[in-house]
Amino acid sequence: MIQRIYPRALGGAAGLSVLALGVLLYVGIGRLGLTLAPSLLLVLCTVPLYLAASIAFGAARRRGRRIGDYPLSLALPSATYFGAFFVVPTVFLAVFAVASTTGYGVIHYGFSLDAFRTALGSVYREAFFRTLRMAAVGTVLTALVGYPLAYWIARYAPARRKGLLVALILLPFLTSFLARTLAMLLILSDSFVAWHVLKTLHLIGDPPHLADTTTAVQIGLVYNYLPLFILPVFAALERMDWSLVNAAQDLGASGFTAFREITLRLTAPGLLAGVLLVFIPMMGEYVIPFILGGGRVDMAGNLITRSFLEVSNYPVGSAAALLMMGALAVFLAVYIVLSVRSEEQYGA
Amino acid sequence: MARLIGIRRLEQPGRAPAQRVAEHDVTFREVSKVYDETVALDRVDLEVRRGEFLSLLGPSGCGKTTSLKLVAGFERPTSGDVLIAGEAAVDVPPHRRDVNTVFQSYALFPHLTVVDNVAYGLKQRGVSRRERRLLAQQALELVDLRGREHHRPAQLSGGQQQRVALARALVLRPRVLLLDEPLGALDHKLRQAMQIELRRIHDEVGITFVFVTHDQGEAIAMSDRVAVMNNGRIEQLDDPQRIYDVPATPFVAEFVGDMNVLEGLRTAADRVQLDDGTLLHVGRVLDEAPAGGRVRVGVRPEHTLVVQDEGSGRRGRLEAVMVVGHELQLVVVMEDGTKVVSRQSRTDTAVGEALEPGTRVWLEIAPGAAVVLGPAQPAQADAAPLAAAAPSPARNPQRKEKTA
Repeated sequence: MIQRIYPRALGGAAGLSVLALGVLLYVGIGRLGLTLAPSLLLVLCTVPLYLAASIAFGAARRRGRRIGDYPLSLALPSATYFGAFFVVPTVFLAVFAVASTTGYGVIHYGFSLDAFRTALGSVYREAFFRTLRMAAVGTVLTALVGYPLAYWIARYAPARRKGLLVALILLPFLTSFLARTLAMLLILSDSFVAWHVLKTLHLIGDPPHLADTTTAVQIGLVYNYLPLFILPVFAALERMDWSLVNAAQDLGASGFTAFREITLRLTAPGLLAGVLLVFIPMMGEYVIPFILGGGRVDMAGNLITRSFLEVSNYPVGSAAALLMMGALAVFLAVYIVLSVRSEEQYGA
Repeated sequence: MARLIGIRRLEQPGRAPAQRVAEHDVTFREVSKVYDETVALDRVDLEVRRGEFLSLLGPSGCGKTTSLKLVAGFERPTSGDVLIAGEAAVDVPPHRRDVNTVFQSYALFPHLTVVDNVAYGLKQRGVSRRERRLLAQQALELVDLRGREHHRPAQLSGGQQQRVALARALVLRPRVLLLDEPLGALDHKLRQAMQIELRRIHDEVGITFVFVTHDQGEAIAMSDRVAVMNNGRIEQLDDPQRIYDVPATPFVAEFVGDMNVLEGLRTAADRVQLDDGTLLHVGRVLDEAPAGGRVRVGVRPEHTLVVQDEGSGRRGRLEAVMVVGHELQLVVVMEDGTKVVSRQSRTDTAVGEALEPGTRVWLEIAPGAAVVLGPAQPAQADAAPLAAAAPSPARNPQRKEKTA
């Protein structure tokens, strides 16, 4: 029994200690003011995590133990990571959410549902539905823009160009998210050079006043999450057997019917994955509305951020965050049910 | 047979019923197809008769699958006309053609059950759900697949998937059924069974079948007529027996069936003298070669006889003896080093099966059985204009010594 637990415990302990070291370094370097280095270091921290896991494996093997059919140890590095950065903060959130506050950010721990009452109030409710609408519209737009591109690359792009095209889609990710969003602000603002050119040519009257509007935020959301949508959809389309489309047409289906009944139907799991990958972060987005909305467009994330960072009302912020997580969990549950069902359908 | 009479020909919206009865279900007129630089089809003329089983036979890249795609409508000819039932079809999209395909990889819809796969085409035509079920059921019975209606394709064996693909195309009662190497993925035994099945189904439904294959045995065994294709052209279109017995071109002679290729001097119109002095009586000349020149001569294995006592034949040494079912296959190495394969029935063989390799034997060739395949060296006349433009290196294409 001890022998069975030993390698896993070793892996977990090693992962945790490396993580602790990483966090210490992170905090330390952050104090020195080296801006980019800490985040890079944090990424590097995952490398020793995997090393630790492989050491644990080696130890288990040296003891002549057969690695089971279900090697849980493989999940240890990520479990450690998620434990440290997701489960622990969520516990904090829960503790804060049932606490109450007096004055300016003084927290009284205890059990009170006041925070939830505020978080379900009209201000937060409106923000939630606004966020829901913007994320839904954003997701639909992303799908409408992204699906044709993924389709084109998967079906028609020459095989030796596909890698390059996918790399080009990922190219924006090489720039910092913040820089990209600020650059968008530049393009959307009325002083953007193209508007002047168009105006001089008498093609438009006044610049379109996009900055600080919901439209700007909407455009920003779609732009930012497009690659995240294209990748899973492209992967699904890449696996597509195009002779099935020919077969459908051969049997009397028009091009559109064949697309709807065969291509769309068979790539639905990838499409669904793409939709969720885009929709969920859009729901939690607060940087894009903050920058492109100029503080005039509040999404739920902005309210939560503000209650933590500006008004220091941790309980209300925590309660709102938990409610948001709950709402998103519903979507996730739907996804899981749907994907399991589609797997059952194709399964042999 | 009677069970099929119940399936009536379905009216198809947007598909004008052919009023006049065309004699040919598919017609190619000077059809060419060029992909980038390669010529897949080169001015092909073809007429597929109503109700026949026609095979397109040839090596990969000969244009047979391209021909099929042109009929199905997945490709457009670069030039020329494709007619289906006597009507121009080039501008008709695949879903409006009265033609169905059994794809090489079957292309069954993985998300639909067997019965829904078969009923797919009927659904596109707006046939009611009940009638769909009924017709699909009948089609599945026709291909002898019962009790698997609600399985998904992935749960079926290769042979069963093949039958579903066939039923799915047949249920629509098309004017022409196209089959793109449908037996390629099956093992030998299943393949032979399916050959017989396909022929039975063809005779039962009376639909025109156009069958693409690279397996000459398959084409010979199943078809009413065979079109042997090579380099984007049809070399010969004939009934299987004549393709085998009276090949029109050297390519057909060598591609269909086994052929021993020998070399010798053409002494007269119907005489070729082999290097060891044997005089061959030539039955046919496929490619004109000047008398007095060296020629390639083809002899089928079954037109040779191996004997142990000295006769009029050529002297050689037995290299191998193989019992292939009811046949005996003997490989003889002649004195000039060429190998000749001889095949004879085990029941009336002149030599014993227990013959040791290395034994001295004599090989007799049936008079008139040999065919002249062409000049032994590439024709100098062809090379001359090129040689003038650029001094050509020694052009000496490998001669194909086809044995077994």
